[in-house]
Amino acid sequence: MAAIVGEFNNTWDDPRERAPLVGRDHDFRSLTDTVCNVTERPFRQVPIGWYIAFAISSSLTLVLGAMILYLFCTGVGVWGLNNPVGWGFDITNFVFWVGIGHAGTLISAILFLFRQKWRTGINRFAEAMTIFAVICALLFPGIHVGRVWVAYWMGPIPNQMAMWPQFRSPLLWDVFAVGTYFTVSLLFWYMGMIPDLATLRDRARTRIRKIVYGLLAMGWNGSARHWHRFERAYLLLAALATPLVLSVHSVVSFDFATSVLPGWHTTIFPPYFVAGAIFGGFAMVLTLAIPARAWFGLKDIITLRHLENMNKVLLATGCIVGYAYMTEFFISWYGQNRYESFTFMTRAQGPFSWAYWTMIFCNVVAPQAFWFRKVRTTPWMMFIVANFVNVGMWFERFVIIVTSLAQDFTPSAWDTYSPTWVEYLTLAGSIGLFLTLFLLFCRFLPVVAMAEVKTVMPQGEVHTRQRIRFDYNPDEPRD
Amino acid sequence: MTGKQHWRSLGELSDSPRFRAFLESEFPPLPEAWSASSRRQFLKVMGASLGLAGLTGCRWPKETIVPFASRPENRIPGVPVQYATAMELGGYARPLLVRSYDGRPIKIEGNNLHPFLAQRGRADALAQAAILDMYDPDRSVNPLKRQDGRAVPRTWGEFLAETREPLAKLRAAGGDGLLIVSQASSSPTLAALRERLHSECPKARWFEYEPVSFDNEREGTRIALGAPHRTWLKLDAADLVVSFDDDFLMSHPAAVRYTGDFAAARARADTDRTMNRLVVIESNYSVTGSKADHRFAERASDVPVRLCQLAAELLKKGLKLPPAAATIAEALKGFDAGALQARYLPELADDLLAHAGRVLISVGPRQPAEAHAVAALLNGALGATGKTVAYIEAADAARPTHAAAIAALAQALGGDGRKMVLVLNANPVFDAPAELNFAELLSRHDAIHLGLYADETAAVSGWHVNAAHFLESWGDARAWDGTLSIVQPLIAPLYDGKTAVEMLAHVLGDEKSTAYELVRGTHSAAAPAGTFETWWQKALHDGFVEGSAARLKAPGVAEANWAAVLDSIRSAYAPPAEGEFELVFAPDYKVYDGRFANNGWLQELPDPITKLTWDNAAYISPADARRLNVRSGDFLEVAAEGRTLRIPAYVLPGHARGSVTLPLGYGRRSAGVVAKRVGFDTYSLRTASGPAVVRKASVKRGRGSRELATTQDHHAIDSALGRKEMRGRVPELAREGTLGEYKRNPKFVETRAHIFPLHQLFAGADYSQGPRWAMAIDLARCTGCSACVVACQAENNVPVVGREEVLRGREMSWIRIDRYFTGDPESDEVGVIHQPLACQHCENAPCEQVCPVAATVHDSDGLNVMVYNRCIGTRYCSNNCPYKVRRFNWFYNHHGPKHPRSGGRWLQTKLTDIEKLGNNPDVTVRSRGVMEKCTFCVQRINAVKIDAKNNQREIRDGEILTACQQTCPADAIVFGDLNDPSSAVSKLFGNDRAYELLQHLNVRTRNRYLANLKNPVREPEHPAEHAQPHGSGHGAAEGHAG
Repeated sequence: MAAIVGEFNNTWDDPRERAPLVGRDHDFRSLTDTVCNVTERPFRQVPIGWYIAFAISSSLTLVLGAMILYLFCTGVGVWGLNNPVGWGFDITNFVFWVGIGHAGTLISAILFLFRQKWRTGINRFAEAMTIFAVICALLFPGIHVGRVWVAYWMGPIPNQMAMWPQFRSPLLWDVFAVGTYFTVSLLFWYMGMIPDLATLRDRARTRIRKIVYGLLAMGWNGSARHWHRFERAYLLLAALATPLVLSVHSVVSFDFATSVLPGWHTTIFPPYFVAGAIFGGFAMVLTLAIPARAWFGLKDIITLRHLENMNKVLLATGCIVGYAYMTEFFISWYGQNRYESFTFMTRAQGPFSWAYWTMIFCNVVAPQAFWFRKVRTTPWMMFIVANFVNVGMWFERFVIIVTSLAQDFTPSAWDTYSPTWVEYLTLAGSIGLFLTLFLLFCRFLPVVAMAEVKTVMPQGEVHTRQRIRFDYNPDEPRD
Repeated sequence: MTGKQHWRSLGELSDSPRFRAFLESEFPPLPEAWSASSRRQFLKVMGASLGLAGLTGCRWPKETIVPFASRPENRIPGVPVQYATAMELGGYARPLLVRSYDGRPIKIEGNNLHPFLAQRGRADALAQAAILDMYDPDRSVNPLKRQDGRAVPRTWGEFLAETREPLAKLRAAGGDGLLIVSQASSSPTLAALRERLHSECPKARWFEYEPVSFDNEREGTRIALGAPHRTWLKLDAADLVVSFDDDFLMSHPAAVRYTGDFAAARARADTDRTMNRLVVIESNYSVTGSKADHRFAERASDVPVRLCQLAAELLKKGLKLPPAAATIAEALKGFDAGALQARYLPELADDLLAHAGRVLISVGPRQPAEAHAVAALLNGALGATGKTVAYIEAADAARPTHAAAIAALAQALGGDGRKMVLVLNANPVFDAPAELNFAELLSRHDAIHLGLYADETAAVSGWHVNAAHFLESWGDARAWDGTLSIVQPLIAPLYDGKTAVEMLAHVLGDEKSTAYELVRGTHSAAAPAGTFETWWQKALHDGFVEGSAARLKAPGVAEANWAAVLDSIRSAYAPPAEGEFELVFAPDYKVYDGRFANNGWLQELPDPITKLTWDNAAYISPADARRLNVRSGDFLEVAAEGRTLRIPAYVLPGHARGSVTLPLGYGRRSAGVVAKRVGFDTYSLRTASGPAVVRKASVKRGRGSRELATTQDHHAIDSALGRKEMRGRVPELAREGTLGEYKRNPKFVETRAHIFPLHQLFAGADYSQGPRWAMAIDLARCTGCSACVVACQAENNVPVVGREEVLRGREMSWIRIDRYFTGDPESDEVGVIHQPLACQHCENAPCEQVCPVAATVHDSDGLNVMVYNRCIGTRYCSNNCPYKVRRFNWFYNHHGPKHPRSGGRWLQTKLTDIEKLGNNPDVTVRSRGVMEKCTFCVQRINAVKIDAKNNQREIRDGEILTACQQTCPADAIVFGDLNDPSSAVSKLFGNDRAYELLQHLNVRTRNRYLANLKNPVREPEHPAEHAQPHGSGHGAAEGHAG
């Protein structure tokens, strides 16, 4: 983050004039140049930071592979799980990554439908992050099972025994929910990228780039008919993806909410999980965007205003999450169920209280810094807060899963959970995989939706500009 | 019927007498017996056929095995057959019935014909686990000869060849220089051979040694009754049982019988609202103590004094002593109860006098002979002798005590000259008194060691010969009550092992006779001519010889020097001094004296009280722990008589202050891989002067600590919050009341929990057709003896996971026994309640709803079944199980990386062929990555169901026995069909004490617990009662002391 100085500040709130979403003197051409340059620049001009990050993350990915190999060869027992605590890091990681995956679709679909134009600068980014996070997430249910060689039985695969999955199981709903979400997100992301891939294709100098981007661009030629089809399809997919944003994490929360376990068995989980997912997702977008925009010179496209908006979302969802934590406690007291109140009391005071208070600090206390404008508009500060949230959201899932399992109904079965080195390295490896995929994305695909950003540049709005200025009606549909 | 008549022949048509006669000769009618209507007749014939089955299936007398050219009669592949046999432990037989599949013994159960077991066929944990010893790959598989410090494998033939000559020389010398060390044995065949040895080699000396024995009782009764006796407790006839450090419900050869009698007397509360009362005065918390209505923690060395104080108190209150003991009255005056502040004794004396004639005083085997003498005296005076206590005269009155024998042996070995020492199954190098330094003594001589394992003694013996397991051998033994059993083999010796009698025959120059011939020879000599074969077959079939039980006697008190007896007690007593400890050596509940140390089932069996596995520890009281500043797992330095031992502490609530209990049998130096690095050798502190109790020892905190692998209270419930919650929860989970409360409010269990109105939104499955299997567990009967846990393990191929995995919390047992302490841990009366917990087979099973692949489902009988083949191992079911009774295979548990035998390798190693033999073929051996849990022994249900269907009959109540139920010595577990209103389980479901665990979850379990009952002298001051069952605003009962 070398270039904090000289930051283009568009975070003012002047009702008379909307702040521009693209900084300084960008026109269409310079924007295209800037974004395409990220993938087109020769290897030696790639910032050293990228190389270092890639070296670390790809090594971690190898570690992940080694851990999975060890796990498969030996058994789930290489993790620190035990009889009451049947899930630990595995499902914590799963829920964590699924949660991360929420921001992308929220930004690209819901904000699209709400005509939040600032989304254009970050949506590509966030969608890519979604895809990679969901890949990491899908890994865990796959590898956490005892007999990994038959994990595919979770899918509804017709077979001669007419044996179907058990449709009442939330774990099966997960398979469908996350699977659908992944598919739609992938389509959405890829489809939205086609015009930009065509741009890359058109600018390609080497043969291999020509071929690869040519294939990926699927013959896009920018005709009015193409654009028309594209925008219809985009709208449709956005409409399809919107309910998914809410449903995926609701379904994931059903894993817990539909059980009988104190601490899991709560109706608050679906909204609480969705808010938490958006919270965590935005934090991860920030975590990735802040260095990336510095490295690749995208500060004028992913502007401070973008970041500030995300910080506001973070603050809002952080408060919802904090409220949910309070509600849980209130209900456990109000419900007067001895088992449930114990679970919550022991979260705060029991053997895992350190995890609980880490979670509270990271998720509830840390985001309160965003009440200060200074923090909202200073990249390094928000980077720190966002990382607190990343950590906090991981601990939230850890607290929910492990504390509830470790001490449930029968005290004779109470136990604790201490993860093994395999679990730590697997978690690190999954972060490595996520970052590796993301770094490759930055380097080889258009990190900003150029075509979309152009529509929100002043040059793209020459016909409406006048009206906006005098009508003060910024959100009227353009067409 | 109208219409034309059809006929086959003229003869049939005419139906003349001649035709009928012809028909009869052509098609003889069924044999009489089959058509006879007499049930007795039928049973007799059935018995005979079973007897014949016994003869066809077992190990042939002809000891060669050839493949069957044709199938022997009554042998159907895959259909199990049962044979009666017996296991001898400490010189007393435990009568057994062993189930064998295709020639492989698989499951040991108690002999259900045996009078000693009251025809109830129960077996304890040790006996049931013995089958694993037989299949133990660590057993020694061939004779070993020590050459240049190495053990070289040899054959039995080579052994015979090499020892023939020296033995012949010894015989020629009249046995001079021949020393024989054996375990205690009641075998008539061994006794006969011993006789023969004595007549042929009069100079040979025989030493019988057991580290744990009833010698004190023998000597005590010798004082009091004039001759050594065994005590026979009639617990069903006693209303008040006072145990002075006697763990008769667990550490006793008759524990299985006693437990049954005791439990029956407990359960009278349901029928006639009376109950026996058990008062236990002991140092360690024993299983018997856990059933006590009043338990007083006293140092073991104080117990004899307490007994005398009680006697003094009784005399004061007017107890009349027999004239032979009149002199004691004066001597007892020195034992004033008040002076030593045993506040409970006056009350106990009152209670004893109030119940005179129906009381019983028992004294534990580690208490000195004098205490036994006083107890025999009191039992006589209280009218117990003959009514609640009987005596069996010891057959071998002349035998020196084991302590004397081992001392004499050491002396003989320490003398000049190289001797030939024959060690028969004993392991004195490990378990002899430490100061004798037996390893060194024995290594100076030519020793032949016969044993199952190449153990510590084998390591210093010139020869080691692999012994046959009792399931592989012919033999005979007597139970505690004297009943004779023939030990018959279930299988040919896996490693061609030899029995003690065969070895002895060899010593006598008889290399030809097999154990079979020797045993038959012993008994045929005694049988009237011509009747032996019948006698033999009946003995084999029944598993005992009818009428061979010893006569129960009620001898009067003999003239004795009672003053000397009391003097001895008084002089041994020292008042507790601050910072001083006594050491109490106790046989371990699992490895006994160490001989079962290589048995994985037993090592992993949680101790009934401490829940320790894979370790022993020094049990100390919480007060002492606080003073020494130690917590469970911290090392203690225990020093006595110049010897020190470093052993982790286990803080046991209810343990006597100033006392340390050291379980024996761990820390084996030379045993199999299972026993390796397990526990601490407490024999190293045990000397001849204090074989049971060391009066003076110093105990201080040592350096470091060791994590103890307990199956409960993992990491000791870290938070104060958790402990507080437990205190609130346990009265609701493991409910308990007093007899008085039960009388006032038979439905007192309902006051223990807040019962919510339970609604179900949708109709559940209809189980009204067909059976509705269910189980009821009576906590008032359950003693926590853990026989069910081993039974389940054996029946269901439950794997052993090893210490590391238990520490991780991954033990696999399908049925666990939850042990909760009740009451104030600092008070005297810390109670214990045991609650066996297996799958509850919920009708609304939470596990089923969450499995993504339908691997756990309900079958048509309403059983919650686990489909191993379908399970992919998400563990979601276990997470959602409120009882946490599901067990996950984290690895290949039978042979995976954590298996003690795999040596920590990543990938699975193969099971040895021998290990494979030991699995129950009716039950799947589960793979890595699948969930498993109690099935209600579905294989047993189906076996009966199939038979019933084939024979077109109804399943009788009690015909299906789950493994845990079958073996429960207390009859605490009952299984059956709820749709049959007359079934035992239906009745128990309707019992006033019945409650459903975690009823508020509305999972509708098929299990009911019957609340525990205590029968204290007075009702507790704050009875845990709430008059209003529901709507009173709070359902949590307060903690209450037993």
